[in-house]
Amino acid sequence: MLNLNPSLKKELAFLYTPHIFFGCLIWLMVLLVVGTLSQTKLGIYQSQELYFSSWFIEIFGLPILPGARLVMAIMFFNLLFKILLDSPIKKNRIGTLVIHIGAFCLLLGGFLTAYGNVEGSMAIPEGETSNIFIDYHDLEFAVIDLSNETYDEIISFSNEYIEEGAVISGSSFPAKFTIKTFYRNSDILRRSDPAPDHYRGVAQRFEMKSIPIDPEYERNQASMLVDVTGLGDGVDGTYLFFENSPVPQSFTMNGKSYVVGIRKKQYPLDFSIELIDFQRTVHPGTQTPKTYKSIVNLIDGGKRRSLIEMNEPLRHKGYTFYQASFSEGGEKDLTVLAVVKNYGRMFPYISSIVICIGMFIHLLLQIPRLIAKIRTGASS
Amino acid sequence: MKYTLKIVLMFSLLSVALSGHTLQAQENIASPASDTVDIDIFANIVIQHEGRLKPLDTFARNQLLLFSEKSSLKNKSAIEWLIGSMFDPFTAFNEKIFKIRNNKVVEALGIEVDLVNKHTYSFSQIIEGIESNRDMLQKILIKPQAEREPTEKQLAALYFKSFAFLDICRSFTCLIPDIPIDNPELVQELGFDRNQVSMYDFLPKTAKLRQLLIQLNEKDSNSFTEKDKAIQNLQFYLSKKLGDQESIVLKIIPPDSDPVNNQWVAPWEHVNGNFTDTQLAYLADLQTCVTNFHFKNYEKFETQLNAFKSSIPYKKNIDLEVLFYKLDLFTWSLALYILTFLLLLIYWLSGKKFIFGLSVTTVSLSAILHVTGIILRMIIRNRPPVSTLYESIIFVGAVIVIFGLIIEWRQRNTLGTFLACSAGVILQFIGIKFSIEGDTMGMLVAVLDSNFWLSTHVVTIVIGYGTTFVAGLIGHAYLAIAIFKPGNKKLIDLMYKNAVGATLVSLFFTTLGTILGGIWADQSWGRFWGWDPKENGAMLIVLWLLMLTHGRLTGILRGPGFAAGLVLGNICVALAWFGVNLLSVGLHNYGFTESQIGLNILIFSIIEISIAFVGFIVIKLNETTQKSNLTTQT
Repeated sequence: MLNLNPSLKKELAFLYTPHIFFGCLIWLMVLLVVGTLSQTKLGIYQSQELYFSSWFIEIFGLPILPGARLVMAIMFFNLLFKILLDSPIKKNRIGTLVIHIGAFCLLLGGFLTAYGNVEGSMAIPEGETSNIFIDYHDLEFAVIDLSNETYDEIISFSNEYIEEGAVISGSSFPAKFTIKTFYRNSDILRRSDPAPDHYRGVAQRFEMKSIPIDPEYERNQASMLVDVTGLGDGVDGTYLFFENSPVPQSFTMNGKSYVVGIRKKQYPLDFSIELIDFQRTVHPGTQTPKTYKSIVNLIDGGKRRSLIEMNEPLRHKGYTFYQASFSEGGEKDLTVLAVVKNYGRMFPYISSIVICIGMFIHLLLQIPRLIAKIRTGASS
Repeated sequence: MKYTLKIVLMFSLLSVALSGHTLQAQENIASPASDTVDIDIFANIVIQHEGRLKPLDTFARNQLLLFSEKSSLKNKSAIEWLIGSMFDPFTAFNEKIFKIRNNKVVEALGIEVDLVNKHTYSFSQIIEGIESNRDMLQKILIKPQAEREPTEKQLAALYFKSFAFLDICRSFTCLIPDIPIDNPELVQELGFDRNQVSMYDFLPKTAKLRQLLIQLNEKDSNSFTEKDKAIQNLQFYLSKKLGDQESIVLKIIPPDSDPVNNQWVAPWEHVNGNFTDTQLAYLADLQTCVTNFHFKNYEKFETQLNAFKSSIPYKKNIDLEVLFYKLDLFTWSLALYILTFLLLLIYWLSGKKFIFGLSVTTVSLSAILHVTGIILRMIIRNRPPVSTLYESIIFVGAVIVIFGLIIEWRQRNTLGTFLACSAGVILQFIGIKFSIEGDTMGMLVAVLDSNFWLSTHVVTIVIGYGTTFVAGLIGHAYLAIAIFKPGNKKLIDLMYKNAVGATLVSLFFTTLGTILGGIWADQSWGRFWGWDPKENGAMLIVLWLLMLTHGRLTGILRGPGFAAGLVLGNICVALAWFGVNLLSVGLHNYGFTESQIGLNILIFSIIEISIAFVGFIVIKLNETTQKSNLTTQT
């Protein structure tokens, strides 16, 4: 597209050469096969983190092999340079150019999704309302101020703060939390021996035991031993926090009551959803599911009645709510909605149209030449 | 208080046990004479099975396939077999219909291996084996599925199959008038006009029967009159019959409203006393039909059955489905593809032009049958052409055949006909193998139930599979020609161009199909791409084709390399199509898995890899020897 002088173009040719693309494709296919096969062992989430969402794949703790994200980044720039530097607008190459632009959009959308995507789930029992959705994998260390009667003030520290040795502190409270031990998946067991003197709360009676990561990543239960300081004698000490703890551990700081714990990262919405009814039908006389439906009220100022079902999500303010799961047979039916906010959402739609047009043009121009009519030579 | 027939009989069963009397049942069942009535009259009766309304004929075929791996027996059609089994169970029990290929299964049940009847066994043989090996079977059945050995899995399957068969045989036993009442006085007292009655006939007589039974129990058995003995016999027959009430597979009586979404009921379910008035009326009609059939009043039977059929509130596509199976278009097209292949061989050997013309005619005819079959299925199911793995096989076959015909039409050099008939033979054959698994028109799970996405994403990606196979087959042809006719540069060049063309077409469909799949995933699961095995499989094909096209541009791949790459591309398609189902992870895991598929893919891959590598190396070696010959000559 750009008109460079030939000698400069020749010097820059290494940027857009298809050799790079060719090499990237081979490596990407290797990753694709290995990553897919590894899913039987690691589960989709972990193998995705290891092979597809990573820049490098660590071997013996060293980042040696390129991960799919790096490969796609290289392809992205290779393609960008190809479009900019080596795409003369000629009749028989116009199709290719359009395809390349479409593919570029697709990769761009991929990067936007990889870095700007927020997703989680929202479980609502029938008749109840929710304005929070919960991340599938990421954790947060939450310090929740309960002193306000109408709302809870939440200060949370997410994933990157959660590692052994990390110190969590805030300006609004005097306590300092130092993570001593952290297990991503664990069992919580009753202590067999008496706890050390400085252990407080749940830690006096229970201990955590590390267990291997479950391939179904959502089943993992994180736990941590935390040194709490800055609250004075009798309170300072070592505490045990774990996911889905039945007993909240609370602290009084500056005369206010706080609940502290580790949990799946939560995202508040500035609107809420009320589940009116969840309906599930099966094909008659079988267990094969036929439909899943959630009838909901979208509450944002006013109320709007909506139906969420398979292949028919609800969209509002950039968020999309999908029918993901359900639970029946308890006291109340419960629906689980998947919640996604994705800035790159439109890119696949645009790029598929662009790629299609490009391929169509290219085919129209190329196919009559390639699948040649043998007798044309004789008759003309 | 209302007593249902069931409660009264439960009570009577107890008194039989207490009185300690045993009686021998008389097997007095007339066998249906199919030569005097057209059994096909049963074919289009509507039943509900596995969530779908279907003709009895389809049910018969699928059940017979399940037991015998065939959709008809040596001397009778599936529907004849089904009707025979339902009206004359005792003969059916001795009919050899269970195909057991694994001799270990047969031996485990203590049955003698039967080579004469090609490994088929009768229900009687199997049930005897099951009875005498109860403990062993019990142990297998309490094991979790995953821990069972292959033979144990087959034993468990056989166990359930044999009971499924028994259920079918007992479908109508409550309606068949085969309970004898030996005493004319009793016949009169119960208000019957004949001395052979059915379970159903007792429905209005429940109170009377209860009264008689109570009276009988108060008597001393030494002072029994003939009538009393007849009552006792009756009690025995009825109690014995009641054991058949588990048979609820034949759901032939419609609900009062919405026949598509509400549950239908089987005749035996009436003993629970929860039929509506309309359903009781249907049952009464059915009873008259069955009775007339049983007593061979065929004329009356036909009128009554036709009346019953026309009173059923659902008829949509039922006759068409019966016709579809009767025409058996896919088997005919398979036969014609094989014929085409033979004609092609003769033409290659003899060079006679008219044989070539004949082969093009047969392959075109076969393609018409093939496509007609697909269209009929679409109309019957009210679905786009592909919604199951089975349909994808048939459809990919059609795609390849159509592309083959296009190539033949443009080039007239047997390449297209060869592509069409070889793919036609292989895929129709695999399709027939797959259809053994049961109803190929089954209902879809919720996430797939979207005609819009089935007709866009699924059709596009499956066309992509087909065209990639076309490209792969052209790759094979290229290698073959380059090895055996290295002098024919013009033909080799033509093949290369064809190969590139087919690759571009494939790239178009697979890329579009994959992106559309992503968009569907975005619509239903909220993410465009999740690195799920099925998605990765589709992407693998796209990347492979991209690599080939760009490898050509860089000059890394030339003719033979490109052709060998296309041959290997077939493996990518096989993996994406069938292989990912074997991993059983991910959201797309709704195709079915079988250990045999894994082995077949492995064999296929080894063959394709060998062809690609050997072909490529031989061509390269020939080229180098030619070059060195040239240099030595100069």
